[in-house]
Amino acid sequence: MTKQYLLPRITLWTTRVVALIVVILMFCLPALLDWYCSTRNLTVLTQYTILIDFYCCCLVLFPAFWLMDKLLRNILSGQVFTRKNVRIISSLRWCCGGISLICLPAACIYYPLIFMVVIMAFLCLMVSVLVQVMDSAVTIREENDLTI
Amino acid sequence: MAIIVNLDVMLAKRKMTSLELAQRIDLTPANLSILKTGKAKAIRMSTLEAICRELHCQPGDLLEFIPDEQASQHR
Repeated sequence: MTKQYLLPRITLWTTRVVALIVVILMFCLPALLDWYCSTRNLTVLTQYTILIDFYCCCLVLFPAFWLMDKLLRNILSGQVFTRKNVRIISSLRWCCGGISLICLPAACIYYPLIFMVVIMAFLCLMVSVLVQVMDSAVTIREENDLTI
Repeated sequence: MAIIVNLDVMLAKRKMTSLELAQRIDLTPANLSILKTGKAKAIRMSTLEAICRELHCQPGDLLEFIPDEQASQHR
């Protein structure tokens, strides 16, 4: 395996492992929350807020994992600077924004979630910049392909 | 585009096929086709030099400037 593709391959498998952890968490979360809320004396409302918020985030998380998997497989197959990848990264940006918006109402009830809102909003912004950079790179590559 | 590539005209004058020219100047037939059909965005000086050398012509024989209004009529 060339050194060039080592990091994308590690990232690909890490993404898959994290997705698996999220799947396990989906089943374990009610029990974990019961324990957590009992130790912190949190209300039933807070418990259900976190639970519903997590499951709503999963609706956005799993498409995000699938998109990341697709992007990394494209990179490993040598297709790096393509319009397809720009669209994938653009979709990932909206996933980050979506998670931020989903966590916002929950953050009004369970305040620590505000950190999640801010982090995901910042990530959305950062990925937006990356989309612009990739778009410019693809334009340069396309022009280079048509340079004889 | 306002620059017309008259490569097929020069190839006909020199009685050479585009495949033969591509082999001589170490260019793929696909890339040469991009040049012939006017889809190229840019051409390297080294490529232009090689084409002129093989076709015994000047860059002006290959490249022609036509203002945009006339170019649409030319097509």
